[in-house]
Amino acid sequence: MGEQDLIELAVGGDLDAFNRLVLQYQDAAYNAAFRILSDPAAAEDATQEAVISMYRKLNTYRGGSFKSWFLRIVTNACYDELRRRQRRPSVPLEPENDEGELVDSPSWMEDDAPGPEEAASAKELEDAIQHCLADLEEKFRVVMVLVDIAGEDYESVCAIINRPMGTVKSRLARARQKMQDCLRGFGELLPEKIRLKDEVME
Amino acid sequence: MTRQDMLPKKDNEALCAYMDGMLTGEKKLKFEKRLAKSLRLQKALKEYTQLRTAVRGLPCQAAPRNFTLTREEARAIKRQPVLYPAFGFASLAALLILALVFTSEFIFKTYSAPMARELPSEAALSAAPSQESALEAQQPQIFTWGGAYGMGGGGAGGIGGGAEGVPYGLGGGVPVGGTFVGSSGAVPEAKPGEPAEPLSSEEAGAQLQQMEETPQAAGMGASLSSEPPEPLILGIRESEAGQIISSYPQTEAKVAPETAPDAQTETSRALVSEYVKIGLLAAVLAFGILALALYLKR
Repeated sequence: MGEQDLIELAVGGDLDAFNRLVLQYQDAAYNAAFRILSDPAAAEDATQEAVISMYRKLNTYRGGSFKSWFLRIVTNACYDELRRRQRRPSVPLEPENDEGELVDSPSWMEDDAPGPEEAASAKELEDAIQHCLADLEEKFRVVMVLVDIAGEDYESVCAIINRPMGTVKSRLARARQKMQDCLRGFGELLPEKIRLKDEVME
Repeated sequence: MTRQDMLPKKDNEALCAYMDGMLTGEKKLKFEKRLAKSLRLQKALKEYTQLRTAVRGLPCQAAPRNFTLTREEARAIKRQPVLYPAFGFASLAALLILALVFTSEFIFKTYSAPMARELPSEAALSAAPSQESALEAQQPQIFTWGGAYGMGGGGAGGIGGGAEGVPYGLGGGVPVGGTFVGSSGAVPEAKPGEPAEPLSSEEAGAQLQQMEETPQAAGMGASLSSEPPEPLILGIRESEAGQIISSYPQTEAKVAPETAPDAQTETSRALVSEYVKIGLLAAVLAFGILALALYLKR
């Protein structure tokens, strides 16, 4: 049974068809949510919210790429989650001791600090990219995740974030520039394949 | 990256679009020519390509569990009323109506009040004649005694015209120009209580003779003599006895209450009742609080 058949059945109220569509796209949805939110638990919540919202809005689906439509709902769920976080900010990660004084090297930082040997590993690269992604402004991060991680084309991203093409291009260019600046900060920690070789070009 | 290394915004966008295959036709050829000449653009393209490869190479985070829905969950989702947006819209609608009410009232008061001040109100117009009549009514009434054409004393032989305590000369009154002159010749401009200057009998006789010679007095005498008038008692005809002829003190009293409520209605006139406004405000608050509570609870 093709995707279009499943969609038609799901719109007609077939829960099994709907669940099959969910299974087909849930990894892409969760992955995008995780890259936007940088938090597995929040990404799980956002994905679940998106699935519920998608089931409720099935009758508003007007054709086109089902994956893009699902990603749009996931992105909106992520925006909601980010707004919730802003309303209820978490405990700031200021390294303070019991007396309220700043600590140079708190224990939780020491535990997670990458050593030089580990820096070249893929895990470190992933962490570095995820760190830089999380540092991006929300509007730049979403566009970058949708284009470079979810693999959506520009037009789909326009529909997902409901912005014109010029805005998408501009945000993506800014996002990449900022990401590059951020990754430069990691310098030697990054594996050679991503380390920028200025001398080669010059 | 230093400021000099940073590409201009336009070049940066064009580079990203070229890298993602979003440039076509003329634009693509033009950019490729520029790229071939610029080492800076070539360097930036290489960096961006490395970055994109690294980002795309991130491992896909598999969903930690299945997000499929059970039949119970699906039923619950379908049943779940969408209260938060509904309350939000209701609150917004009430707020808009309230704003509309206040705006229209403000406009109504702003533009209608000056016009009302410029034009005299109906009440003021209706009050004006009554005030005039009240003023007229305050003028001392002239009472004739014994007929307008000189019943009684007659001639110069008035009864002590202008005696103190008697406002007007009694007897022998002759109408002159709408006023009545007593036989003593005292002009009734004198206010009640003011004694008229007594005239000697020669002076009075001369005045009376002069008056008889005036055409007004002669004509009036002729007209009055043509139909016999009803006799007056203290200035009141017999047929009017027992009736209220003038009630100017009451007229004056009525003027104030007539104008006062009218002014009140003008100032306090409102397009929409206060109760409606309070109700709308209550709806705005109630729906708004409910929507906010549901939104925060999500």
